[in-house]
Amino acid sequence: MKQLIFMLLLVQVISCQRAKYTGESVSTKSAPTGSIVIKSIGYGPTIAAAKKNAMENAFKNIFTKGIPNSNQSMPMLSGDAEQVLKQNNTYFSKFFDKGMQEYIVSQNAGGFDALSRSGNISVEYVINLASLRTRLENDGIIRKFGL
Amino acid sequence: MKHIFNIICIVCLLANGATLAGQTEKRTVQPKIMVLPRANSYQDLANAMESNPNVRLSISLIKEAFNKRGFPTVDFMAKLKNNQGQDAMEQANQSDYKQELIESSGADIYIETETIVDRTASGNNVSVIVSAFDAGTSMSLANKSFQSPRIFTESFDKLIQTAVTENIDDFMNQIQKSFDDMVVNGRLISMSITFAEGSENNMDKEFDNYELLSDKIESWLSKNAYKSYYHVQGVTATKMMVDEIRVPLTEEDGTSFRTAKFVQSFRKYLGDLGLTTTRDLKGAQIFITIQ
Repeated sequence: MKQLIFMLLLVQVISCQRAKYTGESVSTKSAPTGSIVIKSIGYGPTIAAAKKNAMENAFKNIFTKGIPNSNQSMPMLSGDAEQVLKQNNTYFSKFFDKGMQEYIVSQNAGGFDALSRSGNISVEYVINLASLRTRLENDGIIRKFGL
Repeated sequence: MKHIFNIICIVCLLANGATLAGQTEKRTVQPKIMVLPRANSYQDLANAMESNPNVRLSISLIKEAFNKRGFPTVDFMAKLKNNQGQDAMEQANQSDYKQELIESSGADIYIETETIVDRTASGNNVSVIVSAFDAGTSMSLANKSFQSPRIFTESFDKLIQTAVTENIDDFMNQIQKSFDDMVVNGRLISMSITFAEGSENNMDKEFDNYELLSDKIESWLSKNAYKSYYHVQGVTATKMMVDEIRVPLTEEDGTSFRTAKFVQSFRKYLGDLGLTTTRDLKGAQIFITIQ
């Protein structure tokens, strides 16, 4: 009985670690033109969910906040970036669901810690910013470079 | 069966039409960019380019980055050689030479670069300081300092390459932010209104309801400036200086905004008030003289 209660509590604790949006994305090293190297923290009950959350956080921060001390220190979405994200909710839902993986050049994940409160996984990504920007330009989400 | 087929065809056509309409691309004008070393006189510009390979490399890398984004760049060296021996170079006041060169180049934006080599006992590093300006108004669009890491090397070309390639994207993003602001709030022009020598008119000339000429001009600007944004730097009896007037980038029909048309409209308004005027245009600067 005690074991059962313990198991139930453990499941409860793990399931509390839901995917969430945080600003935990930092530029770790310099990158050549057109790309960025960032380490992002992800939350989730499983490795796959936490990794997906880390990737989503990385892209959301690039889109709406910018990554300090990097080649993309300003938000990629112009104007009120948060508003642009909301206005194109369907587009970005699809992007976070399937599209974002196309722009990952490489990734290096740390160990998965299901009980950690400070993030379940930390992943370093190299993201192809140039092609990401081109896609958003072609899809009419951001303006092409120019007036 | 035929009806069903027809309906399916119509639905497909409408759906395609809607998709195409949704994809209608917003036209962006790609301004011409010229990258030049930070210097004022012809001699300084020529010296910087000819005697300093680090400056040439910085300029070349910045140009390359813009070209990679599909941007046309004006070749500064070619323009400099082209202007050699021409009137611009022969001016007594050579500090105006840079402005003459920018105006004659047809560039919409110019980027000044300065390459500083720093040698210390703990290693060498290179700073490339870049500033982008609107050629018409000299308004600053973006500024950034590209820093290379400090390491023990004499390969300054590698340091410059690292400094530029790792930071140029962010600099271009800054420029784009200024462009986005111009699209939303319009671009800036300035206007100076003066009176010809011996003119009987002045800014204190009264019209109906005690309205002065300066008030009339401000009312016109309020109606015709983009989003009613204008700023009067100062008014005296003989001069009015409007240092900021926002105008749209495009006309209502989608064609590029023409400053000359704006001036024509303003002169017509003054003409309706019984005033004869002449005008001069220099880039985004307007000079109106009331007779």
